[in-house]
Amino acid sequence: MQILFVEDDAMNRRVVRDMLRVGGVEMSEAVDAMTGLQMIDDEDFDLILMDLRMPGIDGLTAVERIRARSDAKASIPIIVITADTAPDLRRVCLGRGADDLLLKPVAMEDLFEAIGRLTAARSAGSVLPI
Amino acid sequence: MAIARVRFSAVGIAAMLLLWPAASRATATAPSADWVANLRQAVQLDPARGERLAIEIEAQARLEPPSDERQLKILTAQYFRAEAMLQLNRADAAAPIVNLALEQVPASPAGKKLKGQLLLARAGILSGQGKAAQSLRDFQDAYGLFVNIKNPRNAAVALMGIGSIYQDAGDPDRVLYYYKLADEAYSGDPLLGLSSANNQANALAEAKRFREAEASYRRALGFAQTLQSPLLEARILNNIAGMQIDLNRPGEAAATLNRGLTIAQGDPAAAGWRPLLLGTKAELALAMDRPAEAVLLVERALAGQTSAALADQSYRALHEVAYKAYARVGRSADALVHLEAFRKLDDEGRALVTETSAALLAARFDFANQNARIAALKTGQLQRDVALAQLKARQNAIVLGGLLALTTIVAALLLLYLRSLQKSRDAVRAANVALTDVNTQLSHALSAKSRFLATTSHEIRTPLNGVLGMAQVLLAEPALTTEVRQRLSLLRDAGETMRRLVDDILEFAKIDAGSIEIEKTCLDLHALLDQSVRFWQPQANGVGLTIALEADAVPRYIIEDGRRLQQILYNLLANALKFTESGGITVTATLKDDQPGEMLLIAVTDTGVGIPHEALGQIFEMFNQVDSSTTRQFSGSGLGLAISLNLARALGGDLRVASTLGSGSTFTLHLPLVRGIPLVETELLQSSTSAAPTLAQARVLMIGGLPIGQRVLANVATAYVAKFDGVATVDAARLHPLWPAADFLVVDSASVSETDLLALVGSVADSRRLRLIVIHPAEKTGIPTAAFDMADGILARPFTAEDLMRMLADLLPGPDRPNDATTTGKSGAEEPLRTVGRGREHADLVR
Repeated sequence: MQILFVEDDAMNRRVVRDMLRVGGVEMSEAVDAMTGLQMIDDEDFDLILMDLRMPGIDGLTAVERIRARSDAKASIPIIVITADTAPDLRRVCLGRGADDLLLKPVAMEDLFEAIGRLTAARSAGSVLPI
Repeated sequence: MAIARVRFSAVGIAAMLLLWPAASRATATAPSADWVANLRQAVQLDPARGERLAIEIEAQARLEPPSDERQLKILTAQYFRAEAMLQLNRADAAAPIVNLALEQVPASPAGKKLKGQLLLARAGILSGQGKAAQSLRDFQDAYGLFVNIKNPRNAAVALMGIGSIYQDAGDPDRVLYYYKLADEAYSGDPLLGLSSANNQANALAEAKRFREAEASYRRALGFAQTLQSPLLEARILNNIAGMQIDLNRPGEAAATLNRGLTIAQGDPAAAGWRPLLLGTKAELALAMDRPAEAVLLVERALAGQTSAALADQSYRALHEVAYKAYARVGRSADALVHLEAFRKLDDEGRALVTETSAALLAARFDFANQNARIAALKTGQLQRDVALAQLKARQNAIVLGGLLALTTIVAALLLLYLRSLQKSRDAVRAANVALTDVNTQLSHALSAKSRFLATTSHEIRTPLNGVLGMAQVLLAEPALTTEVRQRLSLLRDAGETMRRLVDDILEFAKIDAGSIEIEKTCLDLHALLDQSVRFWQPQANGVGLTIALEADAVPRYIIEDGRRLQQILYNLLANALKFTESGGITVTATLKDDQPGEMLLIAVTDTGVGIPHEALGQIFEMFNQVDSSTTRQFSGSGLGLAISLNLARALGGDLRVASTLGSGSTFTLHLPLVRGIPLVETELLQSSTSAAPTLAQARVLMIGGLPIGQRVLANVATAYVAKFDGVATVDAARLHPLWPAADFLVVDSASVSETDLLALVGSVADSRRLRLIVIHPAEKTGIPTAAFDMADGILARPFTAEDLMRMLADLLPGPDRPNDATTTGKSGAEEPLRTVGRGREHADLVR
């Protein structure tokens, strides 16, 4: 399984990378949204983890750009990870195209559960990362 | 022969809500500037075009800058698109659109109404798919929502939907009950009235209450005429004629049918019903022993009908008549064709009844509160009328009194009045200026406080992610010494406490700023109270305290925000436990009706240390703890009571305390009571002690494997089996609720020790039902021989979810199934692995 995490803060990247290692998956990293979008162009990912507040393009704009693609990658599952606590945040993120929202501090089990749920549909016939 | 009357189904009702918002004739009206009305008209007259228009509108709306109106516009367009798809018989494709829209609908008043409409649409879809219990649940939620936003018309539509479900289940008493409730809830719409009267009449006819059925059909006919709809008149006349045939009144039946056929001839919309009217006429002819005439009528009815149309349920009666007529004149081949068609439709119809009844089989009902619900709706209306009349009377009295006063004392008082007016006006002006200043400062301070609280919570979350994240990662390390594990656990627990504090602060800030969402639905109050008490039972018993619940005096179903109620109860019980050394805690629920409207009182009483009298006034303030030395073991944020009070007020109620120092305290939650209608409870009908005969009923427990891969597998597996859950260790497995009832154990040999694996093998050998599958590592470093021999299946890495499912299917007990299986997995090893399961014959299934 290939997962990309788009996040500008090195500490957060490290935490999630270690969590995913416990989960059995090696992740790729992008330090900002432009790099992330470029990596999505060049490589194939099963799921994207996206931070919201980053220098340059913010996370939700990046999500919209992914959804606006004209190829199969437009429907990659995307989970937003953020410490933002605006009241309607979940609804706003889903409305802009994200599939789920995880609030920091991230509970490892919740992260695994969300990844499992969102990649199940596209995993038919693929080898399990188990 | 009793031929089933054609009725308005649950899908049809939801569609009617859309198509005739106000009971106007479906003729072309001038295009309106209002895009909603335009779109509705398009969907109504030409669903295919309506769907295209809805997609266009949604695309345009997405180009606008984000706002609540834009969101509402997008969701409304999606709603109409789903309705158009339903009209075009594409319910399965409409379902995901409705589901996604429901997840995104805002909590504003306009959004609530749209949510209700979406729920009705989904209920219709689910009912069409045969998922009666889920459909019922959506109708009930819609009902509660519409009652809450005071929309009795749509609440009535929801009740009619429930009635329609019971029609599918073949339960005429409940059908009549719910349709009558709907009539009483709202009677201002002839289309709803027609649908209700027609369906009640059908149910009454089935129950052989023919006189009442006739009266009800006549009412339906009256509505059809009010609506000036020839199609609806024709449909009802057809139903009436059918009943008249059953009652052996051929003359009346003939007259009714001719009337219906005349209408069908004169109106293009009604012409679609002509074949069914002819079919009923053929039925009449057969009853009068004129089979040749029946055949002629049948052939005229069938002429020009497509085979797709003929396969629809509404033609079931026609096929039945056709086969009987052909049989009577000796045309067996034709008779056979129609007999087959009739059988197929009849079986579908019966299957629907059985499935729906089975889905509703475990329901328990409490009818006591339903009339109270209707009474509340009615008294609500009456109260409004009375209040309005009183207001008018008061206004009249004021005017009259004022006139009299003026004419007698105006001159004398005028001078005095002018002088004092001058003085008080100056004083008021000065006070106003001061007040405005204070108000401005206060509102700045309040919003600054809310912003501060929210920002603080946000800022703390990021480093907390580092602390808690790493603590979780470290604790997942398998090879930790006991001491290191304890230290890490302490680190994590402290982090969790901080997280709870930050969450509470944020919650408080949200409530303070008025931006929490209250969602009132119909819920089971007894179950909620029971759950809340049970949650604390282990902890209470662990420190030697009792905890009990008394809730017999209150109704079972109420309309309230369950999540917020649970939050308040959690806080109150956590506090009670924290401050009680010995004795116990009691939760008591009672009613109070000495003020206008009923109140629900939930009291949490403890035998704890109590609160000193002077401190009672401040107990609900933030971070105020009476005894600062108490350990903060449970929710130690000091915000619990402050949040609970604000939540109680947000729900329209209050939170009060009474206490005696040294004896204990009672916190009482007051809430306005709104009674609800009974909910269906479906219980798992399968018992856990019987073996699983099919894959779809299998229960699977997995031990080990990389965590994320395990979750992916669990999610894929839910499409194949009844239950699939995964744990990390054997100990966790033994504590899992699935442990005693599992049909399959899937174990990763790399994740469990050899001793544990052998112990598992032992457990499996003891059970007659349990099958063991062992996952073999990719490098064939070997697994313990005993496990290898005793496993029912061995699955080699790498493998796909489908590989495992195939293996489970092959291992199911059955007369011609092999009793064990092997698979090499997706990438294919060089040779198949063999297994010998418990001394049986082995078979190789190479994939």
